[in-house]
Amino acid sequence: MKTNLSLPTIDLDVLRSWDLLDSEEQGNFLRELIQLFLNTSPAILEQMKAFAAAGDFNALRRSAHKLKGSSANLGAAKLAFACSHLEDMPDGTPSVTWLESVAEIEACYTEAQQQFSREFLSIQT
Amino acid sequence: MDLNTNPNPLLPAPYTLTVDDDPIVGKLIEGSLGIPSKSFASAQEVLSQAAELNPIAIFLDVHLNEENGLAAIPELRKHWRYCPILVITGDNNESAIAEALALGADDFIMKPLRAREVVARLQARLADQALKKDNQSIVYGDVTLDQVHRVLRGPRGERYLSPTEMNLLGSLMRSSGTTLERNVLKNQCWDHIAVSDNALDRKVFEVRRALNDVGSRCSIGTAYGVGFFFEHWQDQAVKRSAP
Repeated sequence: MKTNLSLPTIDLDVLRSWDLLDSEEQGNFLRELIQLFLNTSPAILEQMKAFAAAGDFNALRRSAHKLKGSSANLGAAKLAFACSHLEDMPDGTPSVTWLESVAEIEACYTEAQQQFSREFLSIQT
Repeated sequence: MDLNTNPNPLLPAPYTLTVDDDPIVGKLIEGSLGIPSKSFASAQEVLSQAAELNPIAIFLDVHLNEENGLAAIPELRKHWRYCPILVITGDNNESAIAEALALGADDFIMKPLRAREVVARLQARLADQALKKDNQSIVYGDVTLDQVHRVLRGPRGERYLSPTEMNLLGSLMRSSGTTLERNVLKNQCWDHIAVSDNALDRKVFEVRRALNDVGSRCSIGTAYGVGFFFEHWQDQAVKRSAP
């Protein structure tokens, strides 16, 4: 298990730094961002699974990099860490390890998706 | 500096460009600056529409889908000479940052983005841009010397200048009203390479011709035995009318 358990699923300090928790207007903006993240990330995850299965690890690293950026921007700390871990895996790493890493990223994404939906999207007006 | 205020309602409202394959980045930049950001997933997409775009700043991701964002910087710079280009990177990769700056980017921002940092860096770069603009053109009388494009503009048109001609004219225009000694001019134009008086005279002749070509009423005067000076026709008129 590579996931850094000390990291929060969603780091609220990141969202606070954007003043996204301060007002209703900002709340709407935050929901828009989360929705965008939830709409775009599944396709990246699917790509990652396909690249891992095909053994195209450079493409896999690029996709992980992309998901790392968007998750970090929205404070999805555990997911960003898992993506960063995959991105740093050296050439020659056994295929099974890449596949495990992708599975772990998917698990972190699901966790982030649930928390985003539960805590932010459920109060949508 | 309030980015959200359009000082001239007759001009289009300011906006930035975000070149990033992650649509969230453009949204965050928009949210932090309070002005629209037009989002593009690739540099090629931006370049294909460059003629219609007039952004106040460009945010460019280093890693784009099929492109290296860094490679696009010189092309972007060709279209927007003064527009601040801020590179966004998720890597703490010093060489990529150094390369971006060497290629013409003005600054970089690390992911995850922080609103206050985005605003502060852009404001600093916009202040630099204003200074750069001031320094790149010298205006005197009816002529403008564009030192970036090495172009002299006057009432009847424009003319390209050689680097030495540009340095010579620039030195004279910056010191207009005072006589610059021959040795000073030679140093400023040839950077301490020893040249003859003849060479300087030939360049002065070329620059006078350029001023004439663009229809300027400014001229280069000769202070015999000393050097040269730049003057506007109104300065000449004042001298002639002086008792």
